[in-house]
Parts: sequence; C-alpha cells; structure tokens
Amino acid sequence: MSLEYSPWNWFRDRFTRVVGLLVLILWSITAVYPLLWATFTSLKTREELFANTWGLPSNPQWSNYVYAWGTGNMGAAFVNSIIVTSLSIVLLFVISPMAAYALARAEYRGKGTILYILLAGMYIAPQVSIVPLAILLQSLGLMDSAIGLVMVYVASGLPYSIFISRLGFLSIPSSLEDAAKVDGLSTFQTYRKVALPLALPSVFIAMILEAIFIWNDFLYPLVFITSPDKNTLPLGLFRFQGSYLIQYGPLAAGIMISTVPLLILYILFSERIKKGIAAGIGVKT
Amino acid sequence: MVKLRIKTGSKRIIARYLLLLPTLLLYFLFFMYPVINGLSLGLYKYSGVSQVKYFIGLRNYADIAIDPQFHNALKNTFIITVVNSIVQFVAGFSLAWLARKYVRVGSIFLSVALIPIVLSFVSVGLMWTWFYNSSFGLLNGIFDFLHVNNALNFVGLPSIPRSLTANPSTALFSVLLTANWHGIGLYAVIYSAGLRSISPSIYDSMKVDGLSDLQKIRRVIFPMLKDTIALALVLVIAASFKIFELVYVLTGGGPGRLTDVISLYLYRYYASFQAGYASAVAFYMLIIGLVLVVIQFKFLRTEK
Repeated sequence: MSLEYSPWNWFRDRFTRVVGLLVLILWSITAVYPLLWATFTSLKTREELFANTWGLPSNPQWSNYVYAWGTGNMGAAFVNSIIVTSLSIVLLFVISPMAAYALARAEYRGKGTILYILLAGMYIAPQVSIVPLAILLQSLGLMDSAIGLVMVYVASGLPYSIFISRLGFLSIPSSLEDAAKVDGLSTFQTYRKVALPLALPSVFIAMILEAIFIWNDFLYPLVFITSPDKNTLPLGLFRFQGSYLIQYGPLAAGIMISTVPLLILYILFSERIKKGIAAGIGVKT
Repeated sequence: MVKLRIKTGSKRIIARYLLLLPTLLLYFLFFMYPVINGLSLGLYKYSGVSQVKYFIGLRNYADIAIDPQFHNALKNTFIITVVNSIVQFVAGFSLAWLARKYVRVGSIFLSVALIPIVLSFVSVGLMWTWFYNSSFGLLNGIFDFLHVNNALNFVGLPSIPRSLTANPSTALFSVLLTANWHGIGLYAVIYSAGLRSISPSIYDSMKVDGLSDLQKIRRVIFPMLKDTIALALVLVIAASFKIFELVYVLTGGGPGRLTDVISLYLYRYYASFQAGYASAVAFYMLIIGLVLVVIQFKFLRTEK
C-alpha cells in the first residue's frame, strides 16, 4: 500500500511538475502571442514594424484605427456584422428552443424523422449548398442583402442550436412538466413559463457558440455579398487586405476591431463556453 | 376520463407541430431545398448567372473524376485530415492531462488555450501570413536567432525557405501548422472535460497502484475515454474535411494550385461561373461527407 519514498522519487516528482508547468505556460504564450502581436502591430507605423517587429510600439499610432474604420471600410463592416449577427441570434433564440422543446420528451408521430432530418444538417458541410443557395437568394431578391445572410445563418444554425438546447430540455425532471400539465397549463404555457426558463443555460450556450460562428464566418458573405459597403467583418478584412498595398498597421487594427467584441464575450463567459463545449461532446454519445 | 386525455393529448401534439413550424419552414427553404436542388444542377452546363442551362448528363461528374487537380485537392484534404487528427489528439490530450495536475493553473491554462477559437479564420490567416513573411516574419526571426538554416546546412540538409507559404515544398506545411495552432486548445478543453468526468476514486486507485503516467493513460484512461476520443476525432475530421478559409487566406491554394483542398476547388469553379461543375463537386463532397458519417457512426457504436 505505501509507496517507497526516496530522495530520487522526490526529485523526479518535483522535476516533472516543473516541466509540466513550463509546457502549459509555453503553450499559453503560443496561444495568445499572435493576438498580442496584432495588438502591437496595430499601433505601429510601417517603418516601426520593420525596425521593431516584435516589441511594444514606441509611439502608439491610434490613427491606424481611424484609417481602418474609415478608409479601410471596417466601420461599415463592423455595423453590418452587428446587424447580421444580432438578427440571426434573435431569430435563433426565438425559434430553436421552441423546436428543441417539441423534440425533447414528448413522443408523437413524425418526431423521430424530424429530429433525424434536422440533426443530419450538422453533418452537411456548408460548401455543399453554396451554389444552389446563391441561386435561391438571387431568385428571392435576397442576394447581397443582410436578410439573405440572416436567413442562411438561421437555417444552417438550427441543427446545432436545437441539438444543444434540446440537451437542456432533456435535463429538466419530467415530473415538473407533469405538474404543469396537472395545473392545467397549455403546451405553450408550459414551454414559456416552466421549461424554457429551466433550459435557458443550455440555450444560452448554444447562442454564444452560434454568435461566435456567425460573427467569424467568411464563406457565406464571400459568396452572397458583392457590394463593398455590405461586407461583414471577415470579408471586409479580406478585401481590405487585397485592395491596397498591404498596410500592416491599419490591417492589424482591423483584426483588433473584428476580434475585440468576441474577446469581451469570451472573457465574460469563458467558463460557460468551456462547459458548453464539454456538454455538447459529453452527451452527444 | 380516458376520452378527455386523448383529447388534450391530440391538442398537445398539434401544439408541438406549431412549435416546430417556423424551424421546419426556414430549414427546408434555406437548407434542405438548396441541398436537394444542388443534386440536379451538377447535370447541367450552367454558369450560375445566366438563365441558360444545357443538360449534359454525367459529363461534369466524369470530368471531375479524372481531373488531376481534383485528385490533388482530395490528397491535400486527406493529408490535412490525418495530420490534424493525430496532432490534435496527441497534443490536445497531453495538454489536458497536464492541466489536470495543476488545479488552479490548469483551469486558467484551459481558458487561455481556448482563445484562438474566438478569432476568425481570416484574422488567424492574416496574422500567420505575417509570421511567415519573408522579410519581417516571426518564424524567420526565430530561425535566424537559433541559426537553424546554418545548422541544417552544416549537417548537409537544405535551408528552410524564407517564405513558407509560397514555397512548393512547405506551403501545405504552413497550412497544417496554423490549423493545428488554432485547434489544439479546443481539443485540450474537450479532453479535459472527459478527464474530469472520470471519478476521482479511479485517479486515487491508480496512484496507489504506482503506475507510471504512460501506463495509467494506456491501461486505464484511454479505455474509459473511448467515447470522448471518438467524438473528438469526429469533430476534427468534420472540420478538416471542409477546411476552406485558412487555405484561401494563407496560400490561396498556391503556389499554382498545389495546396487546393476540396472546398477551394469547388469555390474556384463557382467563382469562375461554372456553377454546374461546382455543383457536381458539391455532390462528391456530400457523398464523401456521408461516407464519413456512416463510418463514424459505425466506429462510435463499436467503441461502446
């Protein structure tokens, strides 16, 4: 039962602990360094970037941000991204928990089929449908518009957000729902007053992860947005890079403009995000 | 009493269908319908902008099947998928295993390691393009500082090219490096959740048994983590299979079309007004994706 305790063992345990810690610290630095570097670069002139590539900016060039926001068109892209992301999330927040609730516990005809068809969407790569989607949006007059993007994001976001929200509804004790039924609440009332509030943490996680995805997505705007003033941030950033002789400072400022909102979201909710990722994986089995 | 229950029951069923209605409408119009519609588009010679469509049967499908560029794109996608799966499993698990040993530091570490997932692929691509930059890039700076090329030449090996993304022999490597930098933190978080789901008593009993770390992992942990590992692999494979943005921003599929992946191959044809051909590529993608799903489900089921 007892372990032999020798100076050698003591030394070995200490040593592995220190090495392990070093590895963790080293990877932490590797993970955040690019972002730090982009922050520094966003405040440097071109000359300084070449002369002092790695260090802190000596004389912060806030004008890079002004340039990126105005001339670089990142301001418009920022507003567009806010519009597209928030509209999509509001719609998803209203309709996907409804569907998730309907697909959670009750048994009725067609439920299994609907569930399978919806969840199958998680396995279809978005590239598969860009061509027919472009044609559909064209025929509906939704090409190059925020509404078109929102519709596509909501439709393609439904499988995942229903999947995660449904886990929340499934974790509610069924006795609570039965009690609501006995009390004479209709299905809608049970959903709104009993089930949704209890499933809200899961729904919330799904919405955070969807918001990150939509905010960062590049493929759909690349295909469905053609006018430069309708860019969302990733597309705006890409077009900004391509349109001038590469202006590192302002471009890095553009990266920061598009990253900071999500970074704030992440700092506020990192524990929930970590838990959400774990839940999505853990229960999917 | 019975009658009453049936009545409320059917009412409740209608209510469920009503709850599902908005979802089903949007999902079918903007998701399923395009996927199904795309299946037939591959049979046409069709630009995507004009109204004119020529039915050409399976020509597109045959052309794709024999196109060496498509084979190359498939090969690259396959390499990326395999390398990502291995690296993100080994590195993600190792970091999770290490993080578990340090209660406070480990949790902070995981929060920091996950930060790359809030960055868009375009931002990541741009930043890494600059790290790979031949004149001021960080990577060349590190190589110069460590005199890596000098050392390589000294033992008779060729130098590392100044621009990793533009050189044919290293372009795909630059994509792999960035993709794995981006993904490792996410998988560290996933595996650490798996490790945390194992009961503490098991860790205690392993300590008492005096197993080394490698023995613990191989004999006890991996068998218990089978589900997490399988699902994490499913995630990596799905993500790698549809990789697009990173390649598009880092190498643009270049030099030439050397680092094309399937989705970039598809996009090229869409962007050059060959929507019919692109739809046929999409069909192949769908099929490969479905095969992967079937394999994965088989795999997951036998794992249990």
